[in-house]
Amino acid sequence: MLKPKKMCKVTVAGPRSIRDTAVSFFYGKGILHIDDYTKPDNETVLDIGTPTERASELSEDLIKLRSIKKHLNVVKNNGGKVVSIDRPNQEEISAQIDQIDAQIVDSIDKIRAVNDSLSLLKAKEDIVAPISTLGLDWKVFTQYDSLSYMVGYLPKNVDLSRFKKELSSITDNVEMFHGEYMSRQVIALFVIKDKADETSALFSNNSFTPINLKCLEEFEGKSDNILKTIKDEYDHLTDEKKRLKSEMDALGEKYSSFIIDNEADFSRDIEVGEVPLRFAESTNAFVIEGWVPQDDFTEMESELRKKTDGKIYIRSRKAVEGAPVELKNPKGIKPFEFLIDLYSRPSYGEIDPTFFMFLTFPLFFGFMLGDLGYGLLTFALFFIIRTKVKVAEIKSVLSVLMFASFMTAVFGIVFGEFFGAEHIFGYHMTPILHRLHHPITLLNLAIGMGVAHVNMGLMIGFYNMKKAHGLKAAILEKASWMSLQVGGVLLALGNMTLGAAIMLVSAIMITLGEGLKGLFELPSIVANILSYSRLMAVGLASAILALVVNEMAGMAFSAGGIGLIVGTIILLAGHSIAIFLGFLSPFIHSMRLHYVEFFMKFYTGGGQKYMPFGRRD
Amino acid sequence: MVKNMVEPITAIAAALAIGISAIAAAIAEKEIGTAAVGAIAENEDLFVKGLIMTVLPETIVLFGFVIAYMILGA
Repeated sequence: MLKPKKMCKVTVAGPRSIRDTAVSFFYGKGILHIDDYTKPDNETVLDIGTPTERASELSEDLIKLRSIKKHLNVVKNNGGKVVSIDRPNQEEISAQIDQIDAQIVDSIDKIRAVNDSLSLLKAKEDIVAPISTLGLDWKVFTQYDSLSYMVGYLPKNVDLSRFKKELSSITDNVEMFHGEYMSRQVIALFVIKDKADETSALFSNNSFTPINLKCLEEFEGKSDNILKTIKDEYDHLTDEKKRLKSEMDALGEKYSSFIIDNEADFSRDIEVGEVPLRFAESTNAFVIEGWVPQDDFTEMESELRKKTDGKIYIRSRKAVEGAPVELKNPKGIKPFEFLIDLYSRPSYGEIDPTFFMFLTFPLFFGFMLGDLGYGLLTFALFFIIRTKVKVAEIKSVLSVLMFASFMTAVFGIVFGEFFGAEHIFGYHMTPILHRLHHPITLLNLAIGMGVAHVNMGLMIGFYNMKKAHGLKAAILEKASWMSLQVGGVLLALGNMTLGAAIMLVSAIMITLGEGLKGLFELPSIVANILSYSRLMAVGLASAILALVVNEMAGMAFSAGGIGLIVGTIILLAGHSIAIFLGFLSPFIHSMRLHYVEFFMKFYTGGGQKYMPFGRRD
Repeated sequence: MVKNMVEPITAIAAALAIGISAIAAAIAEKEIGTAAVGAIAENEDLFVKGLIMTVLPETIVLFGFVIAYMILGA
């Protein structure tokens, strides 16, 4: 529980003829954490392994499959179940993938064509619709010998009567039609060719925006009719698009399990096929290096020898450092590994602090929030959410939160608080320690927990240090901090000589162990311990927040009438906020006390996660 | 409760102790928080490190808090 799983370093070598046998053996076992091979510059014999041909073929199919999956919007998951590792009919499957792919490409092309036509129609409509407000026959927009015409928009603020007046000052041989479309003025103007330039100058002075009619020469008759033709075609194409879309949906429905199953299957086969890229190969042999849990090694060795008819070389060495780390904790404690990984995974050989975190994290949390009502309510809430979610990490967080809620309820009984009040529906709770009446006791308790926690960290540090660098280093760097505290306590109690002497010796030891840096950091132990006063401070704040909510609601209730409704709202909203803040802040503070005050005393971290080849979670 | 017993000057002293240390912590956290958010935007893995670094100066407030309590209690 306190130590990660013991690993041993394994080297496996053999002729290339049995390489694939060995690889599929390791895949099936799922216990070998492969160390990626990097080719040194001066290496001439061993190269990075070559993936199997099958893997590259499968990769192509997989890419096709994924593109199909994306186009068909297949999201259903088969839960990662293994369909068939051995697939003799790969050719058939490939052919089927090609066939589906072709079908989809066809449908997609059709949909694209329809979309293009639709946007073209839309553009045409945008031209015809404003012109239809003029009530003209379309054939007036044609080539004239002596006439020239302009169609377009005039800004809203242009006064038409003034505009007409200016127009008549240029020529009388002019005919103007106007309408309104989308609150813009639509103008069509027919003028004799001689005056065309002058009139167009007038138009551009009035910010005229012309409409280009060139693309619409195919149309005939009243523009209302033209508009109708366009609309009909538009509706027809929209239906067509819907039909094509539903065809695609049907395809997706039909092939979804085929796609999902094969995708999972292919990914696995590719993982197996490409794993040679992670180890070394010469022309005739291969070498795999990696890590295996010590307990599994003997069994694995004999099985592998049997599988390969003894044509294999296997060597194992005891791991000292650098091994991948697999934490092993009982099921109840396991969620707290999440909080450890959030910081950093322990390095191999050091103590795994998950268990300590399991002990103290909910304790600190509960001490800060401490309310029976909040604890019970959130416990139920987290429990319900936990049954709904599937993601393992969120599940872990929720489990941690449930422990926190439980301790909140426990401390709620100690502090005699139920949603900030001292009674549960009329029944008075007798607090063992009243937070608001005895804050100094609360502070002393918090500091006491700090002393215990910090020294627990120092003791773990002592163990780690002794293991890694020997007893002397452990005494100089860890035990010295503990004796420093003893000296400090003696000094505070009035035993000046002894206290000062112990502190001096401790300071010398720290300087010897950690150098001058240690000497400068001497006051940090006080800071570390005082830091635990936050347990009391955050706790008081949360207690007072709940109290304030109740008082405000009480004031509203005593007003009667509408005050009853207002009071209920204050109660619900206030306690929701109080619970939200009450979880956010103790969570962060509890985390901080562990990461900063506790871990700094012993933790190295930086371990590599144990991720064996072929493990399916 | 305590409030009836303290001298006004004592109350002011306690208020200054926690108030000024809170401002100091806020200034420190402002700087660290800005940098931390920048770093997290670049690399989400730094979230926890950023969070820890950001809440480090909170200890300053706690010192002020403890002192304030000692002033009021004396």
